[in-house]
Amino acid sequence: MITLALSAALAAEPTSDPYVDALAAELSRQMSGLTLGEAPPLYHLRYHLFDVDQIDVEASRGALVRHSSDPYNALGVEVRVGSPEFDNTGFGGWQDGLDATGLPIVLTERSLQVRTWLLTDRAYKSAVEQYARKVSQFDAPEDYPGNFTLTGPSIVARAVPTVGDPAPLVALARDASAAMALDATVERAEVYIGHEAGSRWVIDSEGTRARLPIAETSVSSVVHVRAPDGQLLTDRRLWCVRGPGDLPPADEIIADSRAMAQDLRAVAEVAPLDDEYVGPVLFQGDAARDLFRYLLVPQLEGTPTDIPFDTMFGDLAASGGDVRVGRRVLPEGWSVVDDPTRAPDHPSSMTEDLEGTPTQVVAVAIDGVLTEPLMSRVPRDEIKASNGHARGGLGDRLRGRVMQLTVEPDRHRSEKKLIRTGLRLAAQYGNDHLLVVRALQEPAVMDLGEASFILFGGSSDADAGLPPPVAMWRVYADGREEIVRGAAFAGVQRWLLRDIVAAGPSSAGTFMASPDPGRNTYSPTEGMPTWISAPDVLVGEVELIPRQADPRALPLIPAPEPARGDASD
Amino acid sequence: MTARLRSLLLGTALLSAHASVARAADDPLADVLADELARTTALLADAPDAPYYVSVAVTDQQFVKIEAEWGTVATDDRTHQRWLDVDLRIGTPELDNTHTLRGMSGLDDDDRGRVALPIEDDPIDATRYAVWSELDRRYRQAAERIVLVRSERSVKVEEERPAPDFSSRPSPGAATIVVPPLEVDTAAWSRVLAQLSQTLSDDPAVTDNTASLSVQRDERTFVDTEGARLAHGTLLARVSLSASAVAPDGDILTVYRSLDAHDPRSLPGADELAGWAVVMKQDLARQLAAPRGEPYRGPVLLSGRAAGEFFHEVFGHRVEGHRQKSEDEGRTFADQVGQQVLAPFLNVYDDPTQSRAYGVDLNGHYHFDDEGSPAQRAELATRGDFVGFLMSRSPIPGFDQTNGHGRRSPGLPPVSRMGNTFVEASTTVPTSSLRGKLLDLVRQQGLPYGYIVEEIEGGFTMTGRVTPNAFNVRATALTRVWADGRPDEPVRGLDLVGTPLVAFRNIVAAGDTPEVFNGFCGAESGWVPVSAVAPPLLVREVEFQIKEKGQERPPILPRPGADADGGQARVDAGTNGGAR
Repeated sequence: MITLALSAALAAEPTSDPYVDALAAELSRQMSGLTLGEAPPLYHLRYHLFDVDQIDVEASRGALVRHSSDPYNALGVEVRVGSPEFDNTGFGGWQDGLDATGLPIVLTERSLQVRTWLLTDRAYKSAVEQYARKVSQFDAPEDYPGNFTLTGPSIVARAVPTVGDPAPLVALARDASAAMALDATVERAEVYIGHEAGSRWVIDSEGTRARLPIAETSVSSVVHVRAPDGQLLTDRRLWCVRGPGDLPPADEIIADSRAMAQDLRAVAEVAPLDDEYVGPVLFQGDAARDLFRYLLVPQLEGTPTDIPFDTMFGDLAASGGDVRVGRRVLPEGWSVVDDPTRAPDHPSSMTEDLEGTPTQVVAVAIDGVLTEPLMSRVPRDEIKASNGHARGGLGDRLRGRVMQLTVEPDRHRSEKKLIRTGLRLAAQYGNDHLLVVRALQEPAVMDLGEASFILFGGSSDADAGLPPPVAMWRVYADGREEIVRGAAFAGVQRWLLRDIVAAGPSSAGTFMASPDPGRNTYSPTEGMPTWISAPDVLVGEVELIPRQADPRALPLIPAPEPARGDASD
Repeated sequence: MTARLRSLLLGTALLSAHASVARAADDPLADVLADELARTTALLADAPDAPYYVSVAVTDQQFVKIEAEWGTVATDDRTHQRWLDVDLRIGTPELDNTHTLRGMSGLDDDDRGRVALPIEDDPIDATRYAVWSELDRRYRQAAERIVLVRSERSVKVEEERPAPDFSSRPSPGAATIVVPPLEVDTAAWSRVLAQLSQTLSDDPAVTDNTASLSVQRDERTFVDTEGARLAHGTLLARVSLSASAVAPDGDILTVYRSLDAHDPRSLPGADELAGWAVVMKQDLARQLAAPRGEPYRGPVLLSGRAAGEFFHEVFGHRVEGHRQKSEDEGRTFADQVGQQVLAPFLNVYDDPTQSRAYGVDLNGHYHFDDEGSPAQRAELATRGDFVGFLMSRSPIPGFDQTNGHGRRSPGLPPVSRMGNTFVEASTTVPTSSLRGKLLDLVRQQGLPYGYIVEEIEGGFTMTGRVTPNAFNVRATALTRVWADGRPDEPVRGLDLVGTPLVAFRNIVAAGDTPEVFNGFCGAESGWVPVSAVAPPLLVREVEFQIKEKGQERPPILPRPGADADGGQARVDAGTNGGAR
């Protein structure tokens, strides 16, 4: 484990750590020595040295299922051959000069250098081959933006946090999961906690030496409830902070978790949607933020999509957002800003991105039109320079990603006014009520226990465009509210955002973005924390259809009586 | 409560020196399994398709793994997990929901998956709920599947070798076999392993090296509707060293050595392991200098360990009883009972009750299988005649009883698997004479050379009907022995291949120094620890095929810190490589 030694050394002299010096020496040796016959020159080499302590806890119904507390060291490498104008990256497939490997937990200069040597050699050979594949299939047009921007060195040494005590996290997982285990209709009452603290060093052949902090604690309370018709309902609460000390009081988390389970159990008791609904929908709170997460965010992340690699198995290319500067992404008057220091205590806040570039406040959309997408050092037609938003997993291609996003409407209306407007619109569709959605189900939670790799947790949801709501509320003109469950969105597309009729008050929250855009994360604490502030929104027309129930999933054997009484009282 | 009536049905002969029998103390886990089993079966007693048999098993796994590489500790993992397995049968023992389905219906297979349980007993309701939930899920699956099974009887043709789906056996009753605690001096081992990896990596040709200790404690709790209530398990420790290098032609060469024991304290000490490392470096250097072999057909001498693994792959998997039932299986031995399949001086049996052989702890030792049946010695071949199969509780024609070989890893249905497979020779020759006999055969066949296989790293075998019913045993150390008296020559890059019935008939002599091969065997019911014990065997004719090899050049630059003379030479593009 190198965290403590590294931290102590760096506190005194930030840029002369022995491990980083050893890594830099190997980088220098590789830069000057790596050549192969007629292969294009190695022009840029970058390492990411990942050094964290991790705590993982999983509890179910009050008992611990899994607990680990381990150091984790790893190394990522990015090899670029050719030139910034045309190199081995940005082309489909996966053997492309980017790679990663775990490192010994007791790191030594020798072991670091040897692992670096082997990893770089492998990545370099992949880069040379990838370059050849790209040259053979892709004739770069004159306006090709190139693949990389050389910027010179970045020297940064941020303070590095240390890992917290696992005991309170273990106790929290036990207590919060127990609080959700109301009865046997609650199929899952689980808490997942992930905590990591340490550093990520970035060094490159331009002289960059950046020590960036890693500090994240995520608590995810998860509930699955089975409705009487067999339909599975899921919900979760996510708390994402820098360190365990930043979490709300345990009692508050436990109470919130319990309330979520109670609410979901109540939802399970109501009748499911029995017919399709077409008309206005009011997205509030979590659901509103998720609407922007799924439909807006992919339009803001500007790193170009890979050029497909044509193989005998078809095209291999990473999925990516369809981004175009000048496209209307929101109604007139709306703005979108990504300010990575907006919520400085949130784990998504960064002063430098993962390339060591200082993060910038980016006015991503003005008056509803995309003006400046979020960029890494990979250029695109209109924007050649990074605006400090490079993020990604170790060994992944770093891309311009959202960090702390604020979606601001032309004006905020009161909830009351939104509902009045919504009801008026609903009447035009022949509905005597407005549908309100307050939370969407989380794919990583829906898939728990299932070997499902289908988007949004099931084939019937695959074309939805949005995960299904946890529940919906029919809101009537006289103020009555009626809960409805069992609906799925139908064919939602990004242009739904242009149909936003009005916005209400804003709220902020966290979602976990997948390091690989285009796929969902598969565990409740996996992903890159992302902060988002967005208003409630009334959308003019949305289609919702009944979700299929699953009566085969209903228990045939009565549940056991709890030995310690019903936890719901 | 019936489940609390603990008695010991096992004789002391069943117990190894590493386990002791005792009355179970209060065991909340076993209690909750038994309670929930009793409650659910009572509730289902009047159901149209009430289960006729249910078992609930929990595997509590503790695992320690320390790995060192490049002179430092790379991993130090400790995990503790519990897994739940429910086997539930609807119908009758003659035809139940587990019956193999054919055609499209076969897609509805047993998909139980791994079910994690809390690793602590408080609150016990968390475990109770999970057990109920899994019992209910398995019941629902079984109730659906039995419909398909019954339907298939009228749609598909008669099975070739019909047999019941489940056999009866006397209940093992209640027994507790205490599994020793997992106690490892991780700090001391970390130091030793780091030093060993340092020694291995001193060789500048080495591109990968690992010194590893793994200790796994599996404690199994088993209850069933026939009154079994068992607590038993295993403690297995392994120390292993490996080192790899890339040959100029891209071949990745690995030398590996390991030792398994039932107690980490029985593993070799630092000095002995240091000796291993030195020898392994020499072996690796020899292999790097060795040529790749060519396809070959002729006499081969298998060392005892190689012969054990050879029998495991080529013979053992074909005598797993359940394979004789499937319409997709090759059933090599199904019609061979009473027929001579091996040389008449060979006997083969599988005996999980043995904990040691020739001074070596056996991996395949256990007291009860994963169906709760006591482990038994199973005779497989006597004086060369095939006599029986490894049996779980899935009967086959002529063999309607388990012999305690139903095994699995958590999350998979048990099938018949090997434990400790013994190959014994009633007639042996001095092992030292086998080399001469090999050369005699080489000359008789007019060949320039034969082979001695010292080490193999495992292998695989195909037992189905669609694929060739062939085996591939992967040799890692073999020597070419010349008939004209030239010095022996290490050779790399060859695997033993062939078909089983032919290969067995070619065994012509056995040495007098049996050896033990310990390993882990993977098949449809997961990974299970196994052993094979065999003498060196001389085979008249075996075929070798060229092994696959890596296509990457050795690293372009020398290893960091390696000087120009001691390090790997730079490989120039456009050549076939070469080290200096």
